[in-house]
Amino acid sequence: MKNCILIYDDDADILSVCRIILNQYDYRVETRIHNNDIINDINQLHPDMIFMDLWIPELGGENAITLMKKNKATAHIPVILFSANSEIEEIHKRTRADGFLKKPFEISTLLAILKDKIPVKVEPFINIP
Amino acid sequence: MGSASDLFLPFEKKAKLYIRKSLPGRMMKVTTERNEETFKDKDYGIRSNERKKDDFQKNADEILLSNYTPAGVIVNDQLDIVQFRGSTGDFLEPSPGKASLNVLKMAREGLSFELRNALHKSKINKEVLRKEGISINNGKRLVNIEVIPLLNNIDLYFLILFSDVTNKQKLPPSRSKAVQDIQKENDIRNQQLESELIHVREDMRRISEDQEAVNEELQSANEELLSGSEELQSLNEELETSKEELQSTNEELITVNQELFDRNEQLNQARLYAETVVTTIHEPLLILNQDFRIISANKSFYKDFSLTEEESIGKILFDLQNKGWDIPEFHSQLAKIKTTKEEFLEWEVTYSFPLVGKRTICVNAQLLKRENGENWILLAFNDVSLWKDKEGAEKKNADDLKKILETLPQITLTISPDGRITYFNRFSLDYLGMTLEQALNGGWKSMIVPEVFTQVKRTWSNALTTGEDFNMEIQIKRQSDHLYRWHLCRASAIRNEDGLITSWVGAAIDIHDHKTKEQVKDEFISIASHELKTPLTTAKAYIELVKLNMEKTKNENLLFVRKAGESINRLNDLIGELLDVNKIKSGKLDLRISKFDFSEMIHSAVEGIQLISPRHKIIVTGKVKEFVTADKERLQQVFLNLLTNAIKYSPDTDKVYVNIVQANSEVKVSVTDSGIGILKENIDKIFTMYYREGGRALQFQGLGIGLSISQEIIHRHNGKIWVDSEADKGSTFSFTIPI
Repeated sequence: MKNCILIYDDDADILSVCRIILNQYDYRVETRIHNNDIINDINQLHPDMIFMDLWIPELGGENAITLMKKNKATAHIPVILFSANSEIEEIHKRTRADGFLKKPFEISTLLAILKDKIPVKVEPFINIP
Repeated sequence: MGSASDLFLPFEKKAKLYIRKSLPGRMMKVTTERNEETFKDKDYGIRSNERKKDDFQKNADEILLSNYTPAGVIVNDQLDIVQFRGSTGDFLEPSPGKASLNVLKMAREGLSFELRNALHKSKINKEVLRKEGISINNGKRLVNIEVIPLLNNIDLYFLILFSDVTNKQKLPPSRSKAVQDIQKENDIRNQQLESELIHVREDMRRISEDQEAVNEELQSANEELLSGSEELQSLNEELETSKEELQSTNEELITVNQELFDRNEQLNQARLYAETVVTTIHEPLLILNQDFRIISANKSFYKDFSLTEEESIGKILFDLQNKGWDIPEFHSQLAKIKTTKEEFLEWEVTYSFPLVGKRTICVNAQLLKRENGENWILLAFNDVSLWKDKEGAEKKNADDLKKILETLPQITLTISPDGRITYFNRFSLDYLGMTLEQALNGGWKSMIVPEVFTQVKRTWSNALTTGEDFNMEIQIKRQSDHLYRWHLCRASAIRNEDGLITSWVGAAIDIHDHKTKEQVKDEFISIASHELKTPLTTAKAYIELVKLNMEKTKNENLLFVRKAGESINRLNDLIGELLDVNKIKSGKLDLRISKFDFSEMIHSAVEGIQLISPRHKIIVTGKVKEFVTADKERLQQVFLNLLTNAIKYSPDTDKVYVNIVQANSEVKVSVTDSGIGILKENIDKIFTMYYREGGRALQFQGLGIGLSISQEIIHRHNGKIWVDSEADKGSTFSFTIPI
């Protein structure tokens, strides 16, 4: 079963390109343009990793991360802060996010994060001989 | 004088002159009542002559008195006879020897004893005493005596009356000579003698008692004498002591005399000293007598007022230089000191003096008390004209300054060195909507946004203690619309010549509009860069995707895709720089300090650049062994900025040199190129924000903000950044940071 990646971002274009990239690397991608129902989303989709935009309606990235990390059922899922904000590194430290990805990003950085943070379940597409 | 000494008092001892004592009552008249037979009209003639003019009744009384009065005498306290009355020859006779009027001495034989007793008793009892049948002249005569004390006088006098009873008593026995009669007569006589004996004994006893009393008195007198003698002895001793005291006093006097001599010497020296001081002192001094005539003056006086000694001494002060000194106020002031004896200090007068012109003089006057009771006046002058002019000018300056402050269209205030606000200009009061009193009494405090009040207070007290400028942006309420408007508040200390703070001047500039615009701009740039980055992220992601796919298929268009990727990175950097500029401008460029390997940071940056710009060979020399505590990312940003500049501005060369050194607790990084260099006149401007060297440099891309960001980052690290450059030969950019 493919790993499920849940991406929260209010920009549809970014969601599209991320879906295309991650599909190529054999991930199942779910996207949301707001994070109002984050707990529901998680309970429904059981994602293996979440990418969370910082400036996203309505809760905003920081609040959403705090909310899901407080919830025992959802706290174990790795969350990656995903933003163009130059302060992202600082913000990531003060939230309980598991990592950050600065926009714009290199595909290699994205893949490194995925490889690093998700326990091995399925070998990535590129490594299949 | 002899025995009559009791009647006279010595008047002039040397001349042996005496005056009579006045003895009251000595010539007192006495009337008696008995013994008419023995009367002798010795005094009658005189008396009758004296009383010739009196009426018959009085004459009759007098005849009766003189003819039928019994013989008697009046004696005084000392028993001296002061008056004889009637014929006393039968009872008294002058005693042989020294003449005496003592009645006891004069009394005939046998009478003396009885008289003494009678007088004694009468004196003690103060009553009339009568004795009868005293035989005198060997029993030839019998006499009765009566002693009457005259009590109504100051001194004590006694009237003694004698009466001869010889015939009355003796006649019966001479007529019958019978034995029985003789027997009877003897019995009577014995009886009489016995009773007399009893009387005598009684008298003896009395006298002996008196004697004893007198003895006791004598004894006590003796004792008194004895104690008197003792007193005399002690007095003598006291005299001896006094003598010794006198002797020591004398010695003291000698010492005092010596001291006085020494003091006199010192006084002389002091006077000489004082005179020298007075002559050399700068301030003119003058001594006037009570008539304001000049007694003396010092050199300064003559010099300062262009006078000579001849012109001045002995002249009345106000008459000097043809009455040129007749200053009315001065006149009245001196008249006052003369009458009220009140001295005055620091009294100022401005007057046009002859020859020397208009002067402001400060005068001190003091009274000098002379031994003869006269008062001299010491005057000390101080020419304060220059000082006055200066004071006036200073005051005018201050007034002008106040006027300027008053009209300034911004909040302006002055503050005392201890931090109290002393003045608000009109604009401030209009803005705050309060009176000067309200504002000075702390009313301004309520106009500062409450949240920052404690911070303002802290910052201000810090400025007060250090004397450094106060600089702070504070929101101050405008009374007209109750809006807290942003103000840039600044206060600077004003110091005197000695560097001491005399006051503070504060000003607050309304930067509210600017500040709000700035805030809007900051927000805008922040949002704009975010919004710009969003499509950039998509673009970059697609390019990356394409690039990866092309790399796998070895597509010929891979180069174009790479170029597109580089441009996207470049665009991303520019957006980053714009954000940095914004942060620098709003003071929000924060450092993220960590400990890192400096050399490693340099080398990884070089590697990154080397990949993008393979044409230029970057040669790194030197090493930093220690870890450095700083913002790694920002320092790398600076280094990359210098490195990319070096490559960018040396298009015709292929080498860039990097040198890193650790020395004197600092790290130094130098980047050297052999490019176009910088014109000498532009070197100073190269770190200025938005500056771009004109002409030859315009062909190169850039916003003109990279170096100013680098400078800001290095300054935030307390480091230095500079350039050594020569046009057309190349540049060396260097920075140091402390470790």
